[in-house]
Amino acid sequence: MFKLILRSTYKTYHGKLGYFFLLLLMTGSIAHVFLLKTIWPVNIYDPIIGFDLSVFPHPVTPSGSHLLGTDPLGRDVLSMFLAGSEPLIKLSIVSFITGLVSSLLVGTFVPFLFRRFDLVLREFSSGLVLISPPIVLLILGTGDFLEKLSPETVGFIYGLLGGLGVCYLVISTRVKELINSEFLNASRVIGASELQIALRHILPLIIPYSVALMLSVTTSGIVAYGFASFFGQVGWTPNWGMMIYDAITYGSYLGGTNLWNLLPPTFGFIFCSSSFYLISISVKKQFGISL
Amino acid sequence: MFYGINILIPGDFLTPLRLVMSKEELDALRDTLGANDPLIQQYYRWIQSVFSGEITPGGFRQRSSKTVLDTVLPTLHVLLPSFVISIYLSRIPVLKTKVKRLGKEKIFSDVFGILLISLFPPIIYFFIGERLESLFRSLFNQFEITGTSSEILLFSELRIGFGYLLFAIACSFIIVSFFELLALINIPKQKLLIAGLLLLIIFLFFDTKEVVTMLFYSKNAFITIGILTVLLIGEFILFNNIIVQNISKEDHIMTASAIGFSNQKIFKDHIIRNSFFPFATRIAINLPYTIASLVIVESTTGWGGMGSMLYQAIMSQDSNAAMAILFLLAILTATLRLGINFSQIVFNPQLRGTRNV
Repeated sequence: MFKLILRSTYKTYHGKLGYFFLLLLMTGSIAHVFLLKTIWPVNIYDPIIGFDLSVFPHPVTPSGSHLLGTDPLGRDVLSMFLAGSEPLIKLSIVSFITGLVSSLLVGTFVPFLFRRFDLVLREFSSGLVLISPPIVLLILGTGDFLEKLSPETVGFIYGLLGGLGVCYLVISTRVKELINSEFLNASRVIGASELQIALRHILPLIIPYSVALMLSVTTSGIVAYGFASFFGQVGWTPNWGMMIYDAITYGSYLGGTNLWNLLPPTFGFIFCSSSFYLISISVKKQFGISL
Repeated sequence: MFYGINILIPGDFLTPLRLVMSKEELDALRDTLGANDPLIQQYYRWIQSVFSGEITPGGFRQRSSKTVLDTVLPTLHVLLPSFVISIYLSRIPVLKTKVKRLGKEKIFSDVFGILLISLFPPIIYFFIGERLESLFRSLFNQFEITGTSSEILLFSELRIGFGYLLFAIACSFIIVSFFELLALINIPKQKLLIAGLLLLIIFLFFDTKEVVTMLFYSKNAFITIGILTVLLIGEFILFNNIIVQNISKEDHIMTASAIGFSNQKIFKDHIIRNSFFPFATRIAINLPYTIASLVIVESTTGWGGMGSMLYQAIMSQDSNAAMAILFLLAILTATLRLGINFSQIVFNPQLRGTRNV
């Protein structure tokens, strides 16, 4: 099923563009690790503590040694940009997988096999839908939890909230629509057990719904993580939110806020969140999901 | 559920006092104020105080109920105009598309919508904040308007708050009309009439000083509205694309097209009217995310609404105030959802029919 989703989404323009952006960011992230180990001296190109003593004053405009210039604190913008994609890709993948697994696991069996428990779970999910995940993230980012708020943790929390919230509600409704369909009755007559029906017939039909929803939930996770990093709530990790904060805040004191400091992280956010959203639109279009 | 989230905030409402009190003193105070009581007991006490009109209970308060409640109107001042502007402006790409092409993929407007959603609020603030401020400054200089936004404190908060809400909505209709004229869609007579009527009410019931104060207040408000609108437009463009694409595949649109109705008529009488309810449902589902955008945008611009108050409350570990704002946000979300659902039952003939059956 996942192969089918991958193949069919690639056929649309939305999917192609989405995969292209994602591939671009992943390549950038891998290239950063490679460059830092081989070509770039760590003391100059480290995305957090790097500083180029040979040029002064910082920030400097794009040049041969610093292709995207340096930021007000003397760090290489290209290195920071490439390093910034890693936490967001981690967050997105963890969030997507967590949401997908939780929604499919609960969404396939509970509305089909444990219908009474489904009533309780639907109420719980309706409550979860009302809770905005970025606010939860904001709360978690304060105080003692600060250092523990890694991209993987954020992704896991986001995935659970999305998977058991809006995703479960949609999947549960879809499963209820399917329960009395003719093909399921036919399998029952043939002698299939309820578990077999759930795994063989229901699960493949709800996977595209879960994939499409979780991809769009991941998009807001990316923006929320960016916001948290902008306000320094995710510790000392290289990220685009911090790049924007440093460019605006320190830039106003040290040589002015420059476009070459602001545009790379802005485009980074755009590429990263739009890649997931475009693939989500593509899944919806290919599988006729009108959500 | 919101109480549950609030428990996640590290520390309690007495934690900030650790800088001025010893641990023993703080523990004693915790016992006295019931901060060490079982959770269920604390929850019951909170519910009790909410029903008695006090939404920031706990004995010790950094922010009172009044401070929290005072943020409701400023939130509406930016939220409602942003909704008005973004709902109408997000329709423009669809209105400029030919009916025949509506059922097909709209890669450009989809990408444009996604691009707007993905824009980071501080970046939008950086790009439009200063420009809007200089625009307002030049307007004030041109019309020789003098004063400061802090003069708002001289007047009745509630009266000027409602007055400003009307003013902001009137301005949003004028902005929408301007863009519709620019996009050559139609002459927006109804919107201009509503805007004119709202402005007339303001000029009749408010004196010149109050109006000038509103103008100064609107300088900061419109920066926040601008950022929120950019984010909401992106979201609504995507909603519109999916909804209109679904409607345009329906039989009645094909029939109207075959009869020879003009593009404008098909849009006005068949597509736009039918798209309202699915659109409203999507807005209702997405409200928690809109509230999250509000927190992000208000914290960026420093606008004194519920969003920035929630951010400050969480940062200063004021769990009582955070709980009060989360409670108010839940009420706001539920009210907006109920309003949308109720309007669907009243205006949608299909739902009315189902109810009668």
